[in-house]
Amino acid sequence: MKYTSEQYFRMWLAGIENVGPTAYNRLLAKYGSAETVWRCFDDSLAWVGKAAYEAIKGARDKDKALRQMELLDKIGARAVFDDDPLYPPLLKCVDNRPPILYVLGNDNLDTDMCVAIVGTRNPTQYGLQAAELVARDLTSLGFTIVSGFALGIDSAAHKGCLDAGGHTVAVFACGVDYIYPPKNKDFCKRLLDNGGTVISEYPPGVMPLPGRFPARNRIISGMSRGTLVVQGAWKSGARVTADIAGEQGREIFVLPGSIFEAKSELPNGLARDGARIITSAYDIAQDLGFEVKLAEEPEAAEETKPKTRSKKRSSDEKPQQVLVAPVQVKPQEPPNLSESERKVYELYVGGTTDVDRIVISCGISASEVNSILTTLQLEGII
Amino acid sequence: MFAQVVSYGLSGMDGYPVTIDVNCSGGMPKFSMVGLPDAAVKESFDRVKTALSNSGMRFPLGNIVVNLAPAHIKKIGSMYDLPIALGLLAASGYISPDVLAGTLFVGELALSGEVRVTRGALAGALFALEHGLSAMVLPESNAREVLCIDKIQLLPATSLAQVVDHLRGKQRITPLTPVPYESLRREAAVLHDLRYVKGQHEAKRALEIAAAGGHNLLMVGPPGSGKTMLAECMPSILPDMTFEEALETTKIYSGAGRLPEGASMLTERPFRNPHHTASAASLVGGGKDASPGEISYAHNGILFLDELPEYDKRVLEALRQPLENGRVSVARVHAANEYPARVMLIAAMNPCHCGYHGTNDGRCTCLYDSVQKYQSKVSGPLLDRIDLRVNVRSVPVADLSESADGAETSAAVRERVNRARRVQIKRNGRLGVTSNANLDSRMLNEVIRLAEQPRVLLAKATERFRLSARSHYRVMRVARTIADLAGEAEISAVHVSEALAYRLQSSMDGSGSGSPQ
Repeated sequence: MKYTSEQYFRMWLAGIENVGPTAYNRLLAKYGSAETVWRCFDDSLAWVGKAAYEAIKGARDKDKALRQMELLDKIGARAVFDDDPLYPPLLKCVDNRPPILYVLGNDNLDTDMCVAIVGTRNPTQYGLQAAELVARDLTSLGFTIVSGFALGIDSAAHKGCLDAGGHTVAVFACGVDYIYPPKNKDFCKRLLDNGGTVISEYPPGVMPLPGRFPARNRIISGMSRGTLVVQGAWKSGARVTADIAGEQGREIFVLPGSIFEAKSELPNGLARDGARIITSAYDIAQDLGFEVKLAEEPEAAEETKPKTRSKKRSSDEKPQQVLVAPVQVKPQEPPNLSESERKVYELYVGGTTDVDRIVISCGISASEVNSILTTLQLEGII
Repeated sequence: MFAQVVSYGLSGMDGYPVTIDVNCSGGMPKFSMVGLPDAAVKESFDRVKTALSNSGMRFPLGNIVVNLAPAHIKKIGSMYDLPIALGLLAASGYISPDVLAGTLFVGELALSGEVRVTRGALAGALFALEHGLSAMVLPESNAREVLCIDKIQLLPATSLAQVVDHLRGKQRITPLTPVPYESLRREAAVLHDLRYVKGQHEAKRALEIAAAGGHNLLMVGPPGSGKTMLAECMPSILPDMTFEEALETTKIYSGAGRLPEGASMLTERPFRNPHHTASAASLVGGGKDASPGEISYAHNGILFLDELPEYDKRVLEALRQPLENGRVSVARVHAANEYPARVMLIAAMNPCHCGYHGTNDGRCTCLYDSVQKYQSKVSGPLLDRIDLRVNVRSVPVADLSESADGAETSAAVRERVNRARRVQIKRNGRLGVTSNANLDSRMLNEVIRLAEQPRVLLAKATERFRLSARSHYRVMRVARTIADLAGEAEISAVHVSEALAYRLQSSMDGSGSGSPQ
């Protein structure tokens, strides 16, 4: 990948730790170009703040900067600048947007048909299933699913999208060459192999430090039309994302949860604060101003192709876009289950995953319950 | 004059021949003992001398040399007192050296002349049998230990004088009447009965399968959910120990001197639960004489490791190899022994440091990483050797007050387990294996043939859940046991899917934490 010399200097400048988007923009405004910052750096720069000043002073190391650029090519990543047509259009409208995104994989980021799905790393079966289902259905409506690649809900959302053959964007809180959490290493490969994208505002080689995760969340919500919160504790990363989404003026959706479940605290609490409760992907599409039609209706399918490449989102009075739902709106009933299989299935999807409780509720022996659970799992039903 | 007495030494748990040569010639009174005797054997001079005089006999005068052959192996313990005393008497002409031939002698002497208990009597009896000796004189206190051995005359001795009288034909010692092994077995009092365990249907089922097939079992659950209690119920449902198994296990205890005085052969499978501060040497064996460890003491029984992640990592890793091949070689400077170590590993652990991970009531205060760290203390290879993994959940308080009347007793479960085990012995016996868990992969292919449907199911699961080759075979073994419990000759898909459940449903493989694969 070839970049202009100014772009290289910008990468250098944005890559300096302690130079955030604000300092970066102010520096560019004052000096006109990043190259000038490199050349004309002097004590008068002290106004950018002591930390940034020291950082810039220390970073004027040509070899180090060159190594950084080489690393980028080596791992096959590219830098997308905020004036690039590929830069996510919705993120462009965000105040403290990252000046550069490092992208691995599919670089078609110029879509505004994005929905973020976030939630706890320790979900229940219900949360996992719901995240996957909603992601799958949103994908089939033509949405791109954005999430943070953490375990639990994030991964389920990415997975749902991949299963439906869609485009999913994983936003890292470290360099795109560092896979965090390590447990998701295989999954990362699968994501990239199937047309997914990994992006980060941090240059390659940056480690995932705790402070970087909340900062990363502004990208997740910023590039999306709305953010769906699936499960989480009241004080959690998902809460941060939801708060930022609110500040950015984006929709916040929540998946309702049981009041007896600790992890329902966040979605239910946000709902009380005015977030939209959704029960399916179609609720989200409708709330975002789309009309959803079923594919079975031949007329609808003909006149409306899903417009996933609409350039700008115009204001309220724009005509409703029509999205075609290729799948049934109702959750699918698994076919051909025997009576005991159905009993176990219903309890399991209802949140009773404990074998002993299923045994007590259905009156089927533990050995049979275990056998049924494995069969259902193998068939991909649960 | 020269005399020879046959005795034996213990190498690990097996006997090897030790011949005691005694030569008594004229000259200056002198006593020397050669053939690498240890301190206890050297002291035998004083014991023998006093015991002889207290039994009304005289320590021979003259130049006496006692040689313990083979001379290059170190002889340990006090078991050679009786043979040395008899050798002296024969060498001095008090008894005829000929009467000593063909008989194995063992026993420690008290100063009074009384014959005291020794260790490894069972190994001695088996050694005598193997080497075609016709009789064995052993301390009376060890008699019950060898009661089941027939085809050889076992003569229990209480005192040196009695043995001498016997050898001189004055008064014969009555040989032991062999007792069939079955009659030794009596109903042991059941300390922990499964009927008092409330709920825990899945765990109880897993215990039953584990007991029937001898499979390793891991219980994961929050504190106080009953993991230890379930494990303690295990002995009450274990299948009866066969004679051969009892012989092996007793030999280990007898050889190590761990058999209580006057005890008969072990008829109950051992249940060992070493504390988690145990060292690797205490678990797999070690010490300067390469003595057996807990895993050998649990041979043919249960090794219960409570709070599994609290064990030292190196200790757990040391268990891997013996768990796989049922034997452990302990090599030390003075000895290198091989001990049998065919155990059922029962392990219990919390899912995380605070213990409440996966309970879904928000009580778990652990960060995700710390849960991973805690669980990773049990390595993948060790986990892979555990056939059955089961989540033990806290039983709701309301269920605890249920009466135990309707619940199944351990005796009922044990009956099913015994039936299943008999089927296994019948099927696997010709391969020299009594339980499904001990079939190696070669035997497995010989014994188990999967029909089309279960085979496809297993192949699908192996691919989907990325089971290792070892896991694949372990699932087959468990499925075989489940079929045996059901009394069916053919393994069906239901058996395979249940066997798979104990590998897949557990929170230990990360499936509960939402990693997509």
